[in-house]
Amino acid sequence: MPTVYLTTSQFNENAHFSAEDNGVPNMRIVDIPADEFYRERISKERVKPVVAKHFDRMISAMTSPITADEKRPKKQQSVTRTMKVSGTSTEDALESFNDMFLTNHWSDGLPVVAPTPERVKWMLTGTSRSPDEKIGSISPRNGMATIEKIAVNAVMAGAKPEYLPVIIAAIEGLADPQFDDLHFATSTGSFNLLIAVSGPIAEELGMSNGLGMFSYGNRANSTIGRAVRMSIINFGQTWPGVNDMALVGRANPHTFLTFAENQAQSPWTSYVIDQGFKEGDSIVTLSVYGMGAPQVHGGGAVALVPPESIINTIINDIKTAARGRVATTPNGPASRFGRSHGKLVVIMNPEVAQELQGRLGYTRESLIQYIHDEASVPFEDLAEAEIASVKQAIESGYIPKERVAAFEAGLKPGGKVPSMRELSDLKLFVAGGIPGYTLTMRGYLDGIYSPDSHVTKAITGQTLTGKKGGSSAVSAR
Amino acid sequence: MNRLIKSMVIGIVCLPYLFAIAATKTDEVVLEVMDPRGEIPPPTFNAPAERVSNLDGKTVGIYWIGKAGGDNFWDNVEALLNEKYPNTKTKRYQGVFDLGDARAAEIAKEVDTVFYGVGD
Repeated sequence: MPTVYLTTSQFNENAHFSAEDNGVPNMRIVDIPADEFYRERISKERVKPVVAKHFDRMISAMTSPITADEKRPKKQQSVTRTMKVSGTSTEDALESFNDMFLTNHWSDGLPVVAPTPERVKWMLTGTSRSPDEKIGSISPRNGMATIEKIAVNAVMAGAKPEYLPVIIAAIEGLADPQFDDLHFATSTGSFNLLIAVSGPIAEELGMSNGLGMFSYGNRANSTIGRAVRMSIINFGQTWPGVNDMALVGRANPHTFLTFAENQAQSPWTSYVIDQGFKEGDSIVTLSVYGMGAPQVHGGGAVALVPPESIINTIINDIKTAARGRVATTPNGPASRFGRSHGKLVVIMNPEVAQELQGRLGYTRESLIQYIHDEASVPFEDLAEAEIASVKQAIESGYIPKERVAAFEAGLKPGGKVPSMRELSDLKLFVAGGIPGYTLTMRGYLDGIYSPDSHVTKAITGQTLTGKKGGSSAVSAR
Repeated sequence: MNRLIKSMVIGIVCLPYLFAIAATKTDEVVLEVMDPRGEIPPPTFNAPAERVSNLDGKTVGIYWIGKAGGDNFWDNVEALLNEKYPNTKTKRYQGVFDLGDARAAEIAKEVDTVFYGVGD
């Protein structure tokens, strides 16, 4: 099918990469200058001159014959194993190396450690896995992550060998075909990645999980997150304004928000057990969250906010987001209730968790059940459009089979329609110090380009920390 | 004498390290580093489809991913097509960014050529 691809000039390079990666590198692409399109698209009248100005280019791309050049494949980039950088002194060579890596978009803008073969070999002492093992491809450009290449990026990030298994597990999460690693890394919205480490390895590595858990100053937190960023740059080949199109960038771009669960001060079993792994296993969880997160709940060191109020706020947030508003449309009132659920990561500070468990008697499971029940909407409160929307969600198969009964029961007098598609849509971690804040991070529930926006991977192959070898399971969602 | 032997031993032990950052010329230091990039598997190559030679009597598809304001742009494109090519029909589509093979095949049956508008 003769096709002309229209994009705006800001996305021209991105479009060419995308065409190349999808097997049509010479696709006819017409770019409309961004400063004309975005401003003038406000109305049909205002954008008319823009169309008139570029119309002939569009028609030419549609009708002029394909040239011999367009019929020839483009030269592929080649990846070498090593390369040499020279300078007049060691310092000069290191500076040239950093300049070269940044110029080629192989670095993150901060100076990196030189991945010499010796240092990469040292990094690989942290895992029992073969350097040649292929982990999978990373979006958007589908570069292959191998254990050795992950080690190269871990060296650059400043990591230590004992961190490597955590980094490998995180990259396994990104490479999981079920996990949407494309949207958060490239979208214009500033979607982002949360990296949570649970289980004994967090303590063994000295990860920050208390007061200031997202802060600078901890090598494990900082370099594990940075190695993930470096891997996205070098395997996915992202670059700001080229194919990472976050309009204002992404918060914590160099290290992401990387933290560990504060199991020592948590009254509950850890996320490890919650996800079906065994005591003693260690895991990494990746979760995509949206703009506006994290939301902060509680009074910290300043105000008195009882745990019940924090839970009520979370309940109301879930309910409000799920119901949305009933919109007025030419076809009458319309609702998305029941058809557009979100995922909520809750990072609860230990004092709140302790109060909820000690004074109010909640377990992790009963708390999530309570939030689910209270966030459900009484049938009598529902607008006609909301009832119709929930019915449509059931009929379309969007509601999982095992949950249909709960939703149908809500559509009767005296019933309540859930605002959460499933109880597992709420991901509960305990972390932070005392005093602290409870944080919530909302994200899309299902991925945009792949099914999932949240994935957990077992940490395996440790050679330098307590638990050697495998875990009781590989992954969870 | 002991000092001399000690110096020689230190010299021999340090020699490999001096070569790690090798001085190829008197004033040049060479640093060997590993390539951090992941290999990108060569994609299959498809040349762009042959073009229609003109639009007379053809049906032009317009696919738009639905972002705000794009309709204003495409309404004007459609109007200009109708004005400049009176024998040309247009057919509008709207959907997700990645329309998928099945939808693409459906559209291919209905039109002769298509504008695929992304707008970001």
